Amino acid sequence: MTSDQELRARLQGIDPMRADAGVDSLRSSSTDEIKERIMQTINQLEAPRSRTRAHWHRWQVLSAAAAAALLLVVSVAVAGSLTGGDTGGGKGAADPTTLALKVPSSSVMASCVGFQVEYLRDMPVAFAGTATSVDSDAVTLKVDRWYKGGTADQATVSRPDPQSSIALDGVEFVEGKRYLVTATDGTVNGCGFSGEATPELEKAFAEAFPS
Amino acid sequence: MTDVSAADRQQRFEALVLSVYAPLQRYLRRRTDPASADDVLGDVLLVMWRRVDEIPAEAMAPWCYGVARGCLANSARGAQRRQQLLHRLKEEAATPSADAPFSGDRVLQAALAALPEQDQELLRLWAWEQLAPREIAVALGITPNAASIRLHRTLRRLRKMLGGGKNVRLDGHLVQHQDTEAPQ
Repeated sequence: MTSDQELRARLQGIDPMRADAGVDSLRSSSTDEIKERIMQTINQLEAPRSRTRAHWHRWQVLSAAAAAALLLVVSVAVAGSLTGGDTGGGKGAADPTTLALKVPSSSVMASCVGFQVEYLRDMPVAFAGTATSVDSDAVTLKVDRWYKGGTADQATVSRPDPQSSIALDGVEFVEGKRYLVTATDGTVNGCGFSGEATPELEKAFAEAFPS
Repeated sequence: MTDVSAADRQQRFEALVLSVYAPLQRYLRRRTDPASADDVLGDVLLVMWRRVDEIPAEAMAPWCYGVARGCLANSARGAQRRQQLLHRLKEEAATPSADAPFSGDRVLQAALAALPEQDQELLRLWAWEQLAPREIAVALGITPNAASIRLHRTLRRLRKMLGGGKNVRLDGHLVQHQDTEAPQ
């Protein structure tokens, strides 16, 4: 009578994957692709949650379904947001003034409140801008309209550290697209309070910040 | 819906993928052709992502095998796939595993194939995925107790079918089972 262990060993003898049968290692580029494909599929199914290799472009959860909230803390380094003057760069015209925003470490989370124009109205910084460059670490937005709280010509949003990519969740930055952004106390507001300039969001901004 | 943050979810998902990716691939390739395995793997990962909050930390791989099993069954339900599989199985049947190193392998394969599908899966999970009964329970969605009992019974049955090392008639051939035990 064979023991359980012997039977097990014998069964392992007919395991089709036993003989060092190769499986893709997770390091290989093909599995990177698979993973990426999955994350992209996921993005199409629910609130976007990932970034591609070339761009980080997740920013904020827009989906009402996403109860998980990401507050993008922005450490605001307001560079010349008031002057708009010549800073001596000498490109003929004045160098553009820049509002530098940062994305927080991913530990900074909060629950989303439902989107309401009332809340939007209270946000001290609000602008509209078009993404002029998107790379792995930062996005530059050319501001075309200040609703409130600033005058800078452009804004950058960057990651404070490599771990924080997740916090960019939800909004895909694409060069040439236009976004509406709010920030409070150095925090970019997510939860639908920032995002691609859809007619709905634009309408809400116009309502909250009447000129 | 919980307050689990998206970042946390993704972090957990990535850790999970890292730890179960290779075992999952093996699981699938043991049970289907490579192309289908890749297809189904995508489905499994998607389910893992959606349900990442439910995955028991102490039995991540078995839990994923359970999902894979369901996805595999779903995929097998596709008419076209079934056709391909049948075709493939026919081809395999036409070319018996003559290159199998031991005749005992064929005996065991035949015995395994003669068991109910559920019991086959139980044995595969036990021997190939090397799961303990309590892990098998997670993969099959049964209680640990039931898994233990079923494993015990199935092994007993398999042993009986193997005839304890006696000659076994298989496919019209008399095959000597090369037992690993020293002859008494």
